[in-house]
Amino acid sequence: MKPLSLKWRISLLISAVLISVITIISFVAYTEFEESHLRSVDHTLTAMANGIISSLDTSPNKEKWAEEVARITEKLNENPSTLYRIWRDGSSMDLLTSDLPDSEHGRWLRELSEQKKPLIDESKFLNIGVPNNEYRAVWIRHKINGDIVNIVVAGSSHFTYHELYEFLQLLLVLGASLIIGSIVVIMWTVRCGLCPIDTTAERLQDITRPNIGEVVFDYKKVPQELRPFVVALNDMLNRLDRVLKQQKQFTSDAAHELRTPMSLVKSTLQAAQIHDRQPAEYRQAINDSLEGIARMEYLIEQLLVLARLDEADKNTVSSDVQLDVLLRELAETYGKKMERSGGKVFFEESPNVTIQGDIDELIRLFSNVLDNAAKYGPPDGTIHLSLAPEQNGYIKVCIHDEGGNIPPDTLPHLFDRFYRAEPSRSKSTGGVGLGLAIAQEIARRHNGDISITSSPDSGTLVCIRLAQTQQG
Amino acid sequence: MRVLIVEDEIKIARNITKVLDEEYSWAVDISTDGEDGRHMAMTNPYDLIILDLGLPKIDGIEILKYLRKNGKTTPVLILTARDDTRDIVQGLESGSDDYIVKPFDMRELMARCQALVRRSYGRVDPVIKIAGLSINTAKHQVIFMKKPIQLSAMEYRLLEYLAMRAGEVVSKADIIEHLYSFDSENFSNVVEVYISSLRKKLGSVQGGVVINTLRNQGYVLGELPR
Repeated sequence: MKPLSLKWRISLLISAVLISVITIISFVAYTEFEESHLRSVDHTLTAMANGIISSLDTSPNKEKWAEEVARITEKLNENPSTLYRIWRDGSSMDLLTSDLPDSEHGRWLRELSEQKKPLIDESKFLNIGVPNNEYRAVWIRHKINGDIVNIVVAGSSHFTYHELYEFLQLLLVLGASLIIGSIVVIMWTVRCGLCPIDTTAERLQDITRPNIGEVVFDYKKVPQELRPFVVALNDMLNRLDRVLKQQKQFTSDAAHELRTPMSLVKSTLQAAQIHDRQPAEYRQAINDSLEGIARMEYLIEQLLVLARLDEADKNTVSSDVQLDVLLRELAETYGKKMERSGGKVFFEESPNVTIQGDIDELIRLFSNVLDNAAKYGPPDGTIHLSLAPEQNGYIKVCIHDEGGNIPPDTLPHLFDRFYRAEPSRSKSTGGVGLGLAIAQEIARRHNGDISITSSPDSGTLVCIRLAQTQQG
Repeated sequence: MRVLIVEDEIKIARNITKVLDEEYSWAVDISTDGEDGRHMAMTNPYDLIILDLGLPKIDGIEILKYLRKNGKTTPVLILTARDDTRDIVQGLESGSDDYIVKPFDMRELMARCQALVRRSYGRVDPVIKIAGLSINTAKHQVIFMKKPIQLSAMEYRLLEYLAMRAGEVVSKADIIEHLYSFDSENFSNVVEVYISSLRKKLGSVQGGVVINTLRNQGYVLGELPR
């Protein structure tokens, strides 16, 4: 089954509540109205009965008494009539009655005496008659001169019920129109309240890659409840835009970096092709082309590494790596490389440290940093490697070289992809500006981080913090 | 013609130099950083500057703006890996005359260089004709009185320069500045040597000498200015 729309759900809920409230109010009002009407009838009947009782005491003879009783009961005579019957307890003969015993009204009055008697001077109210011809009656028993006299006065309550019926009709019509009106208003309000969702959806449909950065939803125009949604939506669009821009920048940087070696190869080959040349010239052209191709290969390899690191958020291959052994081996390898120019690599003796991680990635991480140290430090300088466990389950590896010529304003950008500290992006030092970006990515994947400090006096210090165990 | 290439990738610069020298007999100077390149561009009367944008020390665009601000009208061709339209527009709006994105085609680069130089001397037609002498600057063919003439690279370089400025008095200093790069062994009497050999080659054909000498002023190809 298709779920009901929010608009309908809200409308139905509010309508149900409204209907129950109006019904309860109508019911209470009706009951109260009915009761107060009957009370006023009862009050009149009781007054009449009391009038008859007092006339019993005072009337000198039976005829005058009958006249007085008729006068007393006259008041309510708007409708068919007021019925009364006065008789002595234990006697079947009436002292006075408005209707003969064999008439319909008389029969009703007589049927009364079969019911339970009220106490002396207590009023008992009863309903007599048939539907559409109901009577309300009061029955009082009064002691006079040792005899107990029963007095029953009954007035038609048909008129009262008629009024009640009209009131009920009024209530129903009013309630129904109130409910229908409210439903319309509710649906309209809900619709208006929800229409920002429709507009938002429409505008979302229009978003394409080029205009994603330009779309901003105005959260001031939407209801309070939808604001977090709109704010979150704006945030998401911003993030997406940023990611797309980064991606675009990365692609364009990569293309840019590829273009230079590509034009080297192309121009070399085209220059060689223009004329017939000596074998030595061809050899030179081949060597230059191969050099350009090697640079492209290196760049593509670095790009692939980065792409693979980006693809999987956390490293999946995790094994125990003996960090001290790994660093000692790296120090030896780089030591041999540095020897040629008179440089040294020194690894401080350290305790055995084992961490969980991907050994290939870790080798790449340290190699990239060592490459930079060898490249930017003095050729005959010394590179120091140190390894120390920290207290909070982290291992700190520091690589220090005697260079220290990184301008302070470039420090924050060193980990940006394709960034190179020399403004020239000079090709003489090689590299494409991805080494530190890769190193940082690997450190991050090992729940760690990497930082660089540099000054001409103290040299450049790269510190890598790695978590000893990989959780989560 | 004398060209300056400001390009930090030295091998690319050498490839271009090689081709311009071999094909056009142009004299080429190379600078591999922005500061040096700007200085060279300001102090020498180049006929064309091929400028990279991502340069050490000073960015190419800055050099270009500096040259234009200081009244240098030398044609500038930007040769760069930046292919974004914004970069191209910025380059042209900063005063460059052409823009080529790396990796480029050598033949296209050459043709554009040729066109820029030709335009800067107010020539629309790549073939320059002066009284029976026809020089096809695109193909490097010289025809005099309907007969092709074989010239050495230096002879052609000199003739092309004189032809570009035909009808004007061209001083010896101008010739030396425009035809020799810093690497050339430019002895002042070398110009006279080439002038005389050119005269011989052109004079050997019926019709006679077309290069006039104005004592202490210079040389004029074609008719003397009044």
